[in-house]
Amino acid sequence: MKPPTSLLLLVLPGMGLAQGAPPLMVSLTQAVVRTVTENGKVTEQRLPLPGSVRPGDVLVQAVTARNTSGHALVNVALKLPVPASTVYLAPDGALPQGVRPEYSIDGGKTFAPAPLKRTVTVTENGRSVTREVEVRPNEYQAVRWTIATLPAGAEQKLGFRVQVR
Amino acid sequence: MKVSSRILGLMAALAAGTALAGPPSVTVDPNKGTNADTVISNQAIATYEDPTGTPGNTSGSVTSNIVTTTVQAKAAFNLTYTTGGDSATTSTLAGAPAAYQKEVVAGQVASFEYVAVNNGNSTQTITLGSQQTGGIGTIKFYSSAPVDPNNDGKITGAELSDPLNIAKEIANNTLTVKPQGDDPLTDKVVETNTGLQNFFMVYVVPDVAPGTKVGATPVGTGQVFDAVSKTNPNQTETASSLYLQYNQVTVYSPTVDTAPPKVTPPTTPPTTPPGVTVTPGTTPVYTDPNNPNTPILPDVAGDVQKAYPRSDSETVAADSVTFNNVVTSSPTSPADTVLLFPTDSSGNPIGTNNGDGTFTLPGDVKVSFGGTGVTLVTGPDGNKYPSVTLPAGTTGTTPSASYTVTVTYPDPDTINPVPVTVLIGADSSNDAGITANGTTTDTIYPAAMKFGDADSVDGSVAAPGTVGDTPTKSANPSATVTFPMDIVNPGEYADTYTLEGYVVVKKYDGTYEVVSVVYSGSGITAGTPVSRTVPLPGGGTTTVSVTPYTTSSVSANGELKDIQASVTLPAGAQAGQTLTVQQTAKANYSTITLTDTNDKITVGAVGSLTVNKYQGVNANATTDAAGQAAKNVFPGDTLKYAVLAKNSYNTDVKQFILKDPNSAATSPFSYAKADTVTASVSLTYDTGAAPTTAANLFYKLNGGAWTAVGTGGAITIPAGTTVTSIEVTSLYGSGTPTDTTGVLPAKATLRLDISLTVK
Repeated sequence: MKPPTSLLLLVLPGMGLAQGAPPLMVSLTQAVVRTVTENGKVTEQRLPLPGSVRPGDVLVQAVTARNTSGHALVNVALKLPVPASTVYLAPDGALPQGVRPEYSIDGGKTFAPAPLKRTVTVTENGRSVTREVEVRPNEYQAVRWTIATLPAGAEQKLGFRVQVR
Repeated sequence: MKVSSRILGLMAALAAGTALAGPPSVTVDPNKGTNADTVISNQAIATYEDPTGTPGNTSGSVTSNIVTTTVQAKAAFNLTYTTGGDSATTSTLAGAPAAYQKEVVAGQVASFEYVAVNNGNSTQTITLGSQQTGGIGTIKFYSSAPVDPNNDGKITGAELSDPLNIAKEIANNTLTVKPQGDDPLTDKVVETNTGLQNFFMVYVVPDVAPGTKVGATPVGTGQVFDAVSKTNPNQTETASSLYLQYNQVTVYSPTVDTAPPKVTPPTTPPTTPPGVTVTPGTTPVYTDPNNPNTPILPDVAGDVQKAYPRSDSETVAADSVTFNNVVTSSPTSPADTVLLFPTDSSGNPIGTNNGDGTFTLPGDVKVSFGGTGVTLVTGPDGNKYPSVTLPAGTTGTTPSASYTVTVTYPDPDTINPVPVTVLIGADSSNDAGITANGTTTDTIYPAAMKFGDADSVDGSVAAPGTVGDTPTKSANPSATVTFPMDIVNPGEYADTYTLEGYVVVKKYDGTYEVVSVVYSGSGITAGTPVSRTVPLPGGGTTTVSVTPYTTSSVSANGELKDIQASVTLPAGAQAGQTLTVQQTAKANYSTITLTDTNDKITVGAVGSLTVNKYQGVNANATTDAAGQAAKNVFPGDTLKYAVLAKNSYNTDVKQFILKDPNSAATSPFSYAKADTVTASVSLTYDTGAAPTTAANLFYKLNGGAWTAVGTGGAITIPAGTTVTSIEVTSLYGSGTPTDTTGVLPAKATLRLDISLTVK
């Protein structure tokens, strides 16, 4: 198994900077979304702990952040990369109040709110022309949700859907 | 023998099956997905404002657990052309795309390149099966294009057994194809597998009729994901699912043929034997390029040439005829090196290949090839063959090349020959093996002849001196003697013959007369006399006029029997000689000339020797009946006797002596008065019978010595001689006769006149 390069930066001991137990607990879950037809109705099923997937399968990966301290935490930023061999589809579920989503197309170095723009240089009528084009969601390489304030004891779950290439 | 066939385009590149120069243009399914065994893992990180730090900090940081999931196999595959495009249409023989249609000679190898495509995300194990139409036998799959071990531009079924080709066979007909991209199981290496694997289908084109279409398709069995069972079971390509990819071969046979040349009918054609009709300006005929006396008739429609050579005036060395032939291909044929050789009726080489471009056939017949552009090459069987090169055909043009065939055969003149027939084959180098694609026939009709005394057996003449051959006949002067003769034509074309004969006859006058033989019989006609110089037995020659006789046509293997050769002896033929009848028979077309000299004539003797005595009293005796009548004499009368010895034979009478008296009892001399006997002798000849040299006369008086009297005259009787006998004879030449050498010449009368006075 080859760990994606981006993860190398993320394997950090969570205890390096705080004293005692960290005030925030972050857990990551994933489930496979299957579309099934029952009695003529098309419904979604989520199958957690998918040990294996196939190309085309849709994975939901969700981050749950819980404030385990006694006071509110501010500017809680949850960063979740779009894993290798998958492509970002959409947020999973409606965005709650007070959460600002941002996206990165540079491997998680910088984030910006949608729509992201990129400049491209094209040749029109024999001349090089620079244009700004909108970045499509399937180009997102990481998502960062920023929770303005997470009250003490409160929990926030945010996730996205990706499709296995 | 011409073989019908389909026409081919360029042969060389197609026979072996071409390997593509560049990578195939088939692409793997872009939606094949992440390769199986890839682990997808993820981890979230949260940052927050550390409450113990400076407000606005983001130094609080916590990571989540890692979640992983492994990508499973979602298999898919296809076998297809190197340019892709397999479909329901290509799943049949007729739907083979143009790049997969070839023309291949039966027995040669067709090979086609295909590609196995892994359209899934897992390693494929693809089994290569096949389907074929048209009777193709074993189909093999190779990892690379088959090779041509003997480098002759053709791959044959046999060459597939060469180790170089065996090494290309795909083990168990199974391909293993990794999915495109990186193999997640190798830790440190990042692969760029293509997901593609080329292979070749190879088979021997079956031996079916040219123009037949045959073909085959690889049929792959590989893993295909089943969405219901979520497994990747084996699935086999069909005409409707994953499709088949037929190739197509049109069985081909080269259109090489050989034939007689097309010859413009000449307006003044060469002479041909009787029965071989050549119409000026209509019948094609040419002459042997090495012998203008041999006409050859090329029958292009019948694919046969007939040659009618003449005899070459000797009978030991082999004879030969050279034919012109042509070899052709077709407007759509590729360039070709055509091998030439004599064949049997199946087109296989026949006889002994002498390695130098010549062949020796049974019956001591030798065949060689020539002409500009004919070169010696090594054939597919390792032997050397003469060959001509044909360029590739173009629309409206049939390539052709000329060559000669020289057939040498034992001299036929004196044997019973049969036609010499040689089948010549032309074999294209564009098909395997050494069997002629087309043949033509060159035939020689040789001549032969026999001439001699007739016999009762057909097809032969009496051998001189054998039982039944009685060539010596007796005849008297003026008689006609006839010898039956036979002419046999054992040759293979009809001919007419000219007969001539003569006999040199010595006549009793010492001269020679040459008698012309008269021939008669069915169909024999006299011609204009010709002048011949004939040797004489005594030396020297004489020029005479001899009449030739021409026979009618004697068919091949036929005979003219009982030709009558007649000789009429001249009246003056001298008896006792044996004459030789000199006969010559010449075949008018083949020029064979034979002589017969064993027929002989012995000349019989005709005539008589008479002696008559005549008497006259006091007058000359009359040589008639009155002279022979009894007469009365008185003493003192003169008795005159005339004794005439006449040789009316056609030859001199030898040992001749005329004696008077025969006996003393009848001698008139005893009544003669002394010294009154006179005598004289003379020799006369019948009119026209006088020899060229006159004989001399001699007398013997009273038994004494022979005394010459020249050509006649008085016999000297010395005075006082009592005559008791007078003998006379004659002799040719200057000698003196003895009692046995005197002659009375043919047709001569010896006259002895005696006169006496009766006492």
